[in-house]
Amino acid sequence: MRELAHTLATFGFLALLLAGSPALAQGDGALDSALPESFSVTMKAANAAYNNSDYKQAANGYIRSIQAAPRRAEAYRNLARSYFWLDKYAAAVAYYDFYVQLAPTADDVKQIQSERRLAASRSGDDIFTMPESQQMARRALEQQLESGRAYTAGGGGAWGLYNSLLRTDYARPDLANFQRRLVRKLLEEFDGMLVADSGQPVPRLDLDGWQLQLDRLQAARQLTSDEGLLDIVDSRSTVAEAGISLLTGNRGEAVTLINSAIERNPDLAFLYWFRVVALVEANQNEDALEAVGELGRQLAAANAPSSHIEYASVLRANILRRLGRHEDAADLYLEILE
Amino acid sequence: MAYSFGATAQTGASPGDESPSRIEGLDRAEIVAWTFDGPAADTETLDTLRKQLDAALGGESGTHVFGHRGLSEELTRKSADTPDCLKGLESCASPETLVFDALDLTLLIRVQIDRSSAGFSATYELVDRSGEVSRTNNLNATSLRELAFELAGDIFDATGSVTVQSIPSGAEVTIDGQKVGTTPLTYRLPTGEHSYTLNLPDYKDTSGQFELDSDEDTVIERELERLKGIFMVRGAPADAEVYLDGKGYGRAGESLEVEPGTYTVEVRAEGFEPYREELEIEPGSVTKRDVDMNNQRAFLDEVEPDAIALNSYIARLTYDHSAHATTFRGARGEASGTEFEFVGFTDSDGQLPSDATLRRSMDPNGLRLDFAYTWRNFGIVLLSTSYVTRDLDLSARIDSTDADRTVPVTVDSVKRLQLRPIQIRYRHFYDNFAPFVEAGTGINLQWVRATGELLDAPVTLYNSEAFWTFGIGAEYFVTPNVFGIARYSGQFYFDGGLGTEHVFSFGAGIALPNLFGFEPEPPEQL
Repeated sequence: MRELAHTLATFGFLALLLAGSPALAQGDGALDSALPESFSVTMKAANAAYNNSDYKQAANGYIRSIQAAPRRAEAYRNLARSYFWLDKYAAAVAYYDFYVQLAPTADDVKQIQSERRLAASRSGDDIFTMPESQQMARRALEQQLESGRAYTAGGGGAWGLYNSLLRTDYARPDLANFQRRLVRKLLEEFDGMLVADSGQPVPRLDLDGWQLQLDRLQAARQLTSDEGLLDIVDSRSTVAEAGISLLTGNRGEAVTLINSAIERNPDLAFLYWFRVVALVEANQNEDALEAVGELGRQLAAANAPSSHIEYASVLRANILRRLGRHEDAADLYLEILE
Repeated sequence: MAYSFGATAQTGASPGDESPSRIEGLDRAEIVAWTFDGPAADTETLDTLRKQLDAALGGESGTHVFGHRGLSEELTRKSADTPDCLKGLESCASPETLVFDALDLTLLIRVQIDRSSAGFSATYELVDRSGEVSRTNNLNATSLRELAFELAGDIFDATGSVTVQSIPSGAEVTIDGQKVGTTPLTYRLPTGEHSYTLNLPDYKDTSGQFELDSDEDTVIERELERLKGIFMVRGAPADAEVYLDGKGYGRAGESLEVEPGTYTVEVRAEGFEPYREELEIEPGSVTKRDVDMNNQRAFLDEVEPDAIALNSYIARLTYDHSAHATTFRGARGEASGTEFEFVGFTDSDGQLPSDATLRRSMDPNGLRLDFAYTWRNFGIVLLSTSYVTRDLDLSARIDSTDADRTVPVTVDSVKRLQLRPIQIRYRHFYDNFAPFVEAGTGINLQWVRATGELLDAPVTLYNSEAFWTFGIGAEYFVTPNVFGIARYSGQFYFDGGLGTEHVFSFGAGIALPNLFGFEPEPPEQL
């Protein structure tokens, strides 16, 4: 529906005709749904600038479009044409080549090839080389992807270098590879942060750490339009949100969020600890007692280290103490102390 | 030696470079838990021992919790916070640590009681927060009362209490290599020399030593020093200066140590527009910025010579203003069957000078239109046409086939059409500014009108003369297609007697890449 509204705004009367043909309109929507939203937005703006002979702005828009969806051919063609009118013939040739490489069977390949020939003849001896800033930024990103962090505080790490690369106006098909690798790295790093230190029951993350986790997912979300990956991102987001709510002291909300995080991420054992903690802090002690019981059963079933079972005992003792069962609590405490 | 336990903290005397001081308002009563076991630990013995221990420990503000009953009572007082380590905020040291925290314990004393030949014997273990046994000893006594006092004396003379506080709080405390908790923290240790380290993210690790005495509570208070951030500007001109919140900090390209915080960064360099950005400097991390500064030279802008050079077809229209001291000698004309020829200008007396080469200054002006084809530097001006005119008021004499003598006339106008069929030109780009030189030949066709009392009607005289032309000027491109032009050209007549014409031109031109539209360009509308 929103797609239709866009179209209506842009093409006015023409869109009315299109609306009469729902299959066509739907087909369009299906195609675009696999793309980041930013692609169609920047593409439209760039086309408008192109038709307005503002080739500099158009080129900029096409660069952003390519960055949003590096495997989509048409932005390369339009960027090549913008470069042509900006008299950057060598760059135009390079982008015509990208277009043909990505869409070798497109209807307009013949036209494009003759445009390319003209551009090539005008470019003379001029050879299009990747600007040094782009080479440096790409090298830095590659290194970081190879052996570095995906995302660090302040938006650094590979994600920061990726954005630096985008700021150099890097717009090439291999950007898709970088995006894919970066998403994978971000998700790996996210999960890596959730691995508890040796002997620890829960991963060590403070509020900033959880916020960073959420930022990691946010970054990953911007980099992919793959449904499967987005589903993982959404599932993991519930974990980060649960972690944040637990630490910001929003008790009732924490319980709800942790429950939904457990539902979507049953593989993350530490969430069961979080549930008990959240219930205690929400003063839902009866529920907490039940939850700590379930936690204990799980620990036993998973052959958890004895220290973990004892940690759970301390939690249980704390809950019993809140429930006024001081004798039972004292038993548990002493069991550990003796 | 009397043991002092749980007393209000006295001024901590502690060696080392730090100067710990008593923390106002800090009054953390210690809680010590005792557990009893062993062959002689029957209810009756224990009851007695507890009473005697109470007496032995009397007068202390600390709380002693004895066994299960004592603990149950203690538990009614308040409830425990959820351990931070189960929220992932810190590492769980051990289950004992959690219990210590839940109960606010500073010390656990495990006592094993047995009977001996002398009466009673007790083996005690002091267990600290980490669950480690820090001291163990065996005592003998004849009575339970004596045993209680032996225990109290031996234990509390051998240990002291230390309170560790940091600003800000929350730092992880390591004592003698063992993590014992986070500040603020009160902790009981054997007396003697100890070392500690405080770790807090974003702050410098702080460590020191202290000597613990059983008599007094040692208080360590340290203000932690925040880590500085490193800030670096790259890509700026070599002599660029970095300013943070308006204050000069150093040069671009250097690693600058900066207090963490948010700053307005400004990079200034001579001849460049300043670069500005809001920036947060994180403690202990390196913040790098690649800046791309724009050249400030106002005269030259961003039109690229490469883009200009592509436009091979050039048309120029200029206003030309000449300065020429010349004569019209040799100009001929005809009117009503009479032929006339210009002889020379006359001097103030109305006489012809003897050599007849007297020249007069004039400044005809008009328009010039050029077409040129150019490569990047060299070019050819294919056709240059100018048409200039001037009203004059010059006295002269002309020959007439109707008269024996020369006729006095007044020259009242001159019209010139000048054609320069081929000129070679060369230009050099300074960004969008291109000085050039042009050289070639041309021909001047001119019509001179003379009037005089002896003439029936004004007579037009005509002649043509060839010249060398040499021009020097500059073009300033506003866009790759549009430029302004200023030029001086000297036109040196083959006939040296005609002098040199100095032409000043100002105008505009257009430059196009594809004049005839033959080539298959991309569409202008998508």
